[in-house]
Amino acid sequence: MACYDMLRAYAKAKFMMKLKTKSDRLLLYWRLCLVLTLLASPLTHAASPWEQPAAQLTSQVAEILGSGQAQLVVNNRSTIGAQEIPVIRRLLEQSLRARGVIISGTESANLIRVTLSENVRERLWVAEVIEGTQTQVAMVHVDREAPSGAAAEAGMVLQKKRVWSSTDVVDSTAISNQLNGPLLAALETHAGLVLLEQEAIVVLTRTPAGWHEEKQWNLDARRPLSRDPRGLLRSSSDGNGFVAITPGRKCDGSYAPPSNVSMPLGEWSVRCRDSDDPWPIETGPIATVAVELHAFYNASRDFFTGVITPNSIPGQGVDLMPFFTIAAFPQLSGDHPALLVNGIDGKVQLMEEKGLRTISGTRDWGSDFAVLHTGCGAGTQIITSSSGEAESDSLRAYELPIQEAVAVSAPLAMGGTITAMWTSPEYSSVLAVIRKTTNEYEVDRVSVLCP
Amino acid sequence: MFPCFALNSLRTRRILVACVLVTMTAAVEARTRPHYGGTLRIEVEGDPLQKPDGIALRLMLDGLTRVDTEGAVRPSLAIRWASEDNDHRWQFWLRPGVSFQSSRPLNALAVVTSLQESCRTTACPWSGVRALGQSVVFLSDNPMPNLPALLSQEEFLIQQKAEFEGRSPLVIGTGPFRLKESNNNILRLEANDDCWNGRPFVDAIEIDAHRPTHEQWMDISLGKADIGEVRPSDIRQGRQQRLNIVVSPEVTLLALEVQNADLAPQLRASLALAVDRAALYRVIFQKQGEVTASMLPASLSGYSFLFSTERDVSRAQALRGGLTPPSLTLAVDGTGAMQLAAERLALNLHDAGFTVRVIAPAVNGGSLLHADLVLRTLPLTGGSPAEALDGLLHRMGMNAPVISSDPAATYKVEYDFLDRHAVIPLLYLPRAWAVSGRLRDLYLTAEGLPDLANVSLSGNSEASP
Repeated sequence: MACYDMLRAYAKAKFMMKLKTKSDRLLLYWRLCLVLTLLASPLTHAASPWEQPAAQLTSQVAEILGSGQAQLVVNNRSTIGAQEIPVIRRLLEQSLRARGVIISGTESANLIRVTLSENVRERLWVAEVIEGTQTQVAMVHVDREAPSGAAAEAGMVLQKKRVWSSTDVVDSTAISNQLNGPLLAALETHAGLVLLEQEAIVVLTRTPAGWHEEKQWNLDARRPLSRDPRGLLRSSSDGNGFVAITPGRKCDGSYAPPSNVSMPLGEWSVRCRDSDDPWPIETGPIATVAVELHAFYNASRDFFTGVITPNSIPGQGVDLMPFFTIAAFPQLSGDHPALLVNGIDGKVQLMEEKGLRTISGTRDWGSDFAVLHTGCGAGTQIITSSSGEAESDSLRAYELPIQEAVAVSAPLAMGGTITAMWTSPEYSSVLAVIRKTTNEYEVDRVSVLCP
Repeated sequence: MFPCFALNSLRTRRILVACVLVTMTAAVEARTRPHYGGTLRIEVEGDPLQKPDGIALRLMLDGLTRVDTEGAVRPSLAIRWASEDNDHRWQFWLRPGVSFQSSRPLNALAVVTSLQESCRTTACPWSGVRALGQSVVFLSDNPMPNLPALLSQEEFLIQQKAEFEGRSPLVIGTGPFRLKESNNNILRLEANDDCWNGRPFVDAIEIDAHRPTHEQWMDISLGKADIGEVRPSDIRQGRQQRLNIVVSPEVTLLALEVQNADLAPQLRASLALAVDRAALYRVIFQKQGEVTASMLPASLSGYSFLFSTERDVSRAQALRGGLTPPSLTLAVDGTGAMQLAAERLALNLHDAGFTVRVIAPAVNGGSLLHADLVLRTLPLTGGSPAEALDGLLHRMGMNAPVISSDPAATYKVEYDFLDRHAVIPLLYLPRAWAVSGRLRDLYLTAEGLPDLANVSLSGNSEASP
């Protein structure tokens, strides 16, 4: 519209007459229009969030006031930046003018006092229309813009990528409305994303519109439920399915690919049973040694008892202290990997062939960690959770050169509480479940960028 | 040290207004997973079983719904609900597999019995409630758009029909703690291992009732207590004494209720103009909370500035005109700062030509019923402005009006209600607690109460159940 107005003005200019042909003029129109559009677009874009609320509010004001003169006062009681206020005022003025309300000075008997306010959920724009002693009120609510965030980066850098969020829209319905309690783990398969909740397993497939819930199974979880629930999801041995473990329950999920090309998706099936078997907490090659480590879980106290079932690693036949987290870690000397254990007493210890030794420098560690083999630095890093600010946890990479944990990256703020984390099957990244708010969860993939 | 109210971003603000997390040891060590075991010791000034905000009730009882730390209504004993007939009929489906602490299963009949019992002492917005299979149906001649939020209030917590053990009624609910014993002002609760929502982390809670605030603080300093109360007016003093104090957002409305129905409308309006909110805020409540002339706080409504908080004695006198107001009595629902606030208000009103006599609080609350004016606090519940306003009006004994989620409509209802000057809002106050250093992961609920089911104690490394 602005472009059209400018072209009209331009058409009236004297030098227009100097153009020889109609085609020349048309060409110039198009070029001018293009340039003006390009120049104007950032401004238009910047003002756009306020256009709609300004139009809605002035529409209500015009209904109250009718056409006539009024003084306009704009107050800002919100977190909208001061630089935005002239833009909003201009929009209000334009919109009022378009509705027959002429903005005047203090001489007018009518006053429109617009207050840009907000509450914890949304912005609220309030117009008090004062005609003599009578005041009428109009309001519109304005959605807040999404908060922006940036991760701290220094030295070896942790990089976060969102895999899934419960606020992702699926068929116009937020998944968070369907969560069956806390999210315990997630697993990416070639057929979709598997979510392990406290009382259900959900399989999602990605569509152009977002995540789509493919299927859901009730876990028939053992009662009573836990307040600090934990669970495991592992790829099945054939790579097509999964194994899900929660306190007292074990489920095998299998995926049958589509039998012909006309079927877009295959078929998932899940079979659950009661199980008090030890949990497979480490399965994979560590320093060329195949490790398969199982640990018994205390379902009523939410930690591992310390009784583990190793096959070829140190600590065989030895019970550990009760712990929250354990991971196999390559030793500097010796063929077998060591075990890094985070006890429920907060001590981090390394179980090696030589025995058990306490690791210092772990004061900032939370209860959860995962080990990565990145090839950066010492080759192996421990990604640990920690609590920076009270309401937001962070992740940080450490190495264990000797008996002391040394931070090798800046903390990466996760924007919520880390409730679970584990290493990806290829040991190249860590997956973490973040509780953003009471019922809002996010799964993030965190990887290490070498300096 | 504490993440109180440095509201420098929208997100921080949203989180902090919703809840306050206390990680006592955050500055010295990282957050770890919670440990089980231990006994939590609480001291309170009043009765922990008293409604509407006794600290023990929420530990033992659940409602059909609950309000989460962000103020949103969530399932609790009901897993879903639906309304029909323009909110005149509501159906709540019960969570299966839930049992009372007596092991008796929770069913629709038990819920109906409990709710009917609640209606004996509380004005209920429904005209009928009945069991229908594993669901409960509410019926009303008036629409009840905010019933799910209303059912989260303490008045409607579900308990098994009262049984008597000795002289005291035994409270039996479905919550995370069960009543073990109660004697000599000490209430002992123990963890409910079979709680549908999970066993709490601590084994037991001891609540020492009727304990003066200064003694509570002393006990916390000496390590004899874990949680004690801090009145809003004492927050500054508590901090000066180096207590660890956690402060909720503004969750309590301090208001002057005009009970004398014979008082002329212009005299009521005159009262509203004569009160000096700023002085109460500055002097009595030590700049804690927020001055308000509206029922809802600014953080919830966003429009509270439309209600002027300015004192205008000249206009108050002019409104009174030639009328000679009768001598008024002012009762106080509380002690300490509340009593001082009442004395101050009496002086304010005297300036506008009113004669007000502050009467001492009666133990049985009799003075409240017969006084012309009552200074009281009202808890704010419900997540949305409409739900919160509905809850407040319900507590004032009003039939809940139809309130839509449109802010302008909510404002209109609030404006019309306040225009009658039956209630004069004065301040929004936070709730505050002094806490010991061994508490981990303490959140305050939307009502400003400590969420003790999810608290654990540091130093407990229980290795076996």
